[in-house]
Amino acid sequence: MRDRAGILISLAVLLVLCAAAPIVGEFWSGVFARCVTWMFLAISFTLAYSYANIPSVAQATVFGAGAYAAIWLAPSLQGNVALMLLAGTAAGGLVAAVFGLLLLRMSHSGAAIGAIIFAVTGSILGNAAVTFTGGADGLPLPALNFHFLGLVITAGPNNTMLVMSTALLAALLIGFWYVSGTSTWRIVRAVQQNPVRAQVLGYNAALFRLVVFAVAGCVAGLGGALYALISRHVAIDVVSLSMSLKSILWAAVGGVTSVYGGPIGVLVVQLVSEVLARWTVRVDLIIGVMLVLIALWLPQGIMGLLRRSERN
Amino acid sequence: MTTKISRRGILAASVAATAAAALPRIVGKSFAAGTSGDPIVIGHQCELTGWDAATGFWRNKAATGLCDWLNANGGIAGRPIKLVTVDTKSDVDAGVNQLRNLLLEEEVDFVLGSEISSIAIASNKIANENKRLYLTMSSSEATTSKDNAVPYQFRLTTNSAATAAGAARKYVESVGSRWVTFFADIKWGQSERDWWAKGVAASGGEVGNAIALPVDAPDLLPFVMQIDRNADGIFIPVLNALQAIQLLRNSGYDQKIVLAGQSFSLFDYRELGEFGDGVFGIETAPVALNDMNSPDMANIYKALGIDENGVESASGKVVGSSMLLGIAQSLGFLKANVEQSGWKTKADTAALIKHAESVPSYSKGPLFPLGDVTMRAQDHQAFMDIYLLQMQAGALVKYGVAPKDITIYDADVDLTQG
Amino acid sequence: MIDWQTLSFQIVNGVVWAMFLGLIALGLNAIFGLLGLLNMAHGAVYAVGAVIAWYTVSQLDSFWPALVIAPLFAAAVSVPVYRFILRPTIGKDMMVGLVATSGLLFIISDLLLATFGGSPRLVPPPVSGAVGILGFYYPTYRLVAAAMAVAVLATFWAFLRLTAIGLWIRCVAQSPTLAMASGVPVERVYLVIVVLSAALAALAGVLIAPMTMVSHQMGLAVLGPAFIVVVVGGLGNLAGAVAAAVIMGVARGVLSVFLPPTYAEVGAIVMFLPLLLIRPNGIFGGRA
Repeated sequence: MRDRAGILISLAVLLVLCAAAPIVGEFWSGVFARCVTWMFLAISFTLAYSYANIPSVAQATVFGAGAYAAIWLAPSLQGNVALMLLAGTAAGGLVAAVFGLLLLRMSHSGAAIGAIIFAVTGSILGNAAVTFTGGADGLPLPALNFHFLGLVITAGPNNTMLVMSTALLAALLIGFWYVSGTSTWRIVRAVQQNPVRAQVLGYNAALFRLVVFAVAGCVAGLGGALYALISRHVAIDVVSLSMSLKSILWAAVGGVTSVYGGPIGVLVVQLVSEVLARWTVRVDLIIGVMLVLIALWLPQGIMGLLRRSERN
Repeated sequence: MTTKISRRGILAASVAATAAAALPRIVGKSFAAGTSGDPIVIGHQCELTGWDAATGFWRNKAATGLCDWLNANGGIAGRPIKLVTVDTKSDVDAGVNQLRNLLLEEEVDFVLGSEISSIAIASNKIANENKRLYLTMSSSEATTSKDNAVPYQFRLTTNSAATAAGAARKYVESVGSRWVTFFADIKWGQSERDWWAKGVAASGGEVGNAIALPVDAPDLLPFVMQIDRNADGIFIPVLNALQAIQLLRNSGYDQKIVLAGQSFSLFDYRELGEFGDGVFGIETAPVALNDMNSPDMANIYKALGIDENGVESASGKVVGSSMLLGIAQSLGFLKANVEQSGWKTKADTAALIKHAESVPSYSKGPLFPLGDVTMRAQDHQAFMDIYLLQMQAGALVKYGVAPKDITIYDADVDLTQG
Repeated sequence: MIDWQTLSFQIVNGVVWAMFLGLIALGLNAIFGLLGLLNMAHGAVYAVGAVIAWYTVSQLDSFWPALVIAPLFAAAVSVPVYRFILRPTIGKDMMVGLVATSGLLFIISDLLLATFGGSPRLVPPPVSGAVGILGFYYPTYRLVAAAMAVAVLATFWAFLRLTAIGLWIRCVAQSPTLAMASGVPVERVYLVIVVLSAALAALAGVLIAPMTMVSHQMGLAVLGPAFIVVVVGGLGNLAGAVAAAVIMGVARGVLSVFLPPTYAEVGAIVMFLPLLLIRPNGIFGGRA
């Protein structure tokens, strides 16, 4: 059940990003780098939605937890990027596990609303708790000597960070590709398609869903930590409901039935917005039309196009 | 550098401004009369869409119109100006990204910055790294203090600390000593609350209780009703001030209301109708020309197609005069320092900053239309007279002036040492 | 010491505001329950209603015509939107409808910014003054508007119970396949639901306009609370959504007497989490 075309396309896209970065210049490689951090968020939503069966409208909250964890811990970790990324991953996983424990017990639509409640609450409290979060103004990434596995690196929207995040994302996707062929993954699919049947067959359906959701949280948290390192500034807007909605749209545009769709969705939406912004202020209007057309013509997202051609 | 505004110049500028207003455009290419050489490129990081689009409308109008006017009047150091405007969408990620676009792709020489503090705080450091001068339009004191103060940033508009220091004394004298604050429970609201409390205390008054308004609360009434009815005045730093005032008046609160600094740029005061009667504001500029006694401001109004009551003829909207002044003074600062320091290219910007730190004040003139402006070199913050405005009989009129000297507060950084 | 007067005020206001939230939630509920669509554009339609109220007051100098104009306008626009955008998404994955309606949300909000502008506006209450209840003064317009909202909710309920279309709607809600097999014009029912939902959202926008600030982005903030009451009340359950709205409104009011406002707001939302756990099908269990 490994999706060979999916992994090859997404790896090719990532490769093109890294190869193009030195040519297109500093601005665009910064845009790419930030897009890569959001790809983690989009993938995280797809994992939660399609494999843990939880329509999590709060993935940005999890992403934000990773970002804030990286910023808060940066001084005590003395700029050790590997540990900061680990901290972000752990924070994301932890927050998702807590959310998941509650959301799992709810109906499908109930879980969506439960997630909205988490997102709204996080946003209200985060805005008020300025001492911890910096509120709307946000917190800067402390100026430290950052190093990753012995190499000195500069934080920010630069080529090094782009390559590093892309490599992590590629590793993640390859890892997923590998796991998706194992027997464990078949259980995950069985649980996702029919939890009751899986339960009867002797599998702990709830535990499988929780683990998948927590892993999705880890992915979002890792993306959040990378976002903090690349943006060098994290403001509370990152946990807003509209950020979560954005992540859902990215995933859906790419194709929510495939983990490999998220990266494509992010690139399409963000790059189209970026290019449009040079010509008009009516970017949202055009993006809106684009979304409607995608829903009508590519209901399975861009990755669905691939499946369609495969079937033919 | 005394530039007289000629009638023909104004005519040409207003034609250009009308043409500019006719179609939404992102990149402004200005014509240049009597200028020569490569254009000086000014980037404008502006809120054209999103929640702050109301104030962005005026900054965009002012920047476009005034750059056209400058071009029609000899440009800066004889060189034409090219203005490149980008839209932040009132969002940090988009705003920072567009700033990088200005710096790296458009390779602008100077930046007129965002009004939103979160965008400004994230942006000024990036401008600083790229050694490009960032003239912040944010009025949050935090953007020029402590860790956020950077050498490549100046602020030619006022900020929350200065308005509170200046206005609190005046209002404590004329309204009373017992105050309550109804604030938005976000960074900006909390900071306004704290500065106001400091200002009121320093003037011998006290702020009794402060009621927080949670983000996105749909109904304000449950929170409005908790405001102490025995207070003399209510200070309101909330983004939905219009709604707050209407509710307060509808619920029988007849206290004096003071809106936080530059709130009158967030909406058209005439929307308040009878509810607005008596409401005070704190701005850097009045709205009606007869409150200003400034031929220079009259010229600017004319160039931008604004009548003597502050109504723009094209849109019928009342001008956000503080926004207009902020942009005018920023351009005035650029013109003065480019011309005096002999700035030629980006490489000269560091020298321009050194020069600007040695200029203690800017005299009243075409781009400093309301009076002298002093510049504090330590934190690159300008100080100007603060106008206390009040709605009276359906008009927004000048109630008093807090002279710039009493708006000065202690700086917590010294950029001249670096 | 409990301030009984403030407490009773907060309870009254909580109930009154719940009527408006219930009205907003009504259409959202019907579309979610029947068409299975998470309508992200619902709040934007509500904003359009409020904007029309502002234009009506400024052009005609009267508020009341807006109560007719706005719903009619929204209903008229919703017909082609249903035909060309919503209908093709019915029955597909939840995400497809979400992407389509998010697209509509972007389109409507940006058109509002382009035409109405970024500056917020105020619609003065058409009924001024305050009435004394239980020792405090309460804005008269809120009571008038709440009464109208209740009337609309009651009419809708009667429409569901007493008309043929109402019967069909209830049939489709239970099982679209069965309904279609027994000759119910399912397509027409869907269209009616979409048109009614848009009209009701616009009407809610008009009614609330004099209590809030009219702006191009006002639809975003109501979406969260509206979705919450729809699901907590039980999908497709009209009374449940109103009940959930009352619980939320009263809780916010009561909590705000004892807690700082921000915690009261959070508390009023978070207390639904246990409800979602205990009653996964909504407060009243089943469907309408």
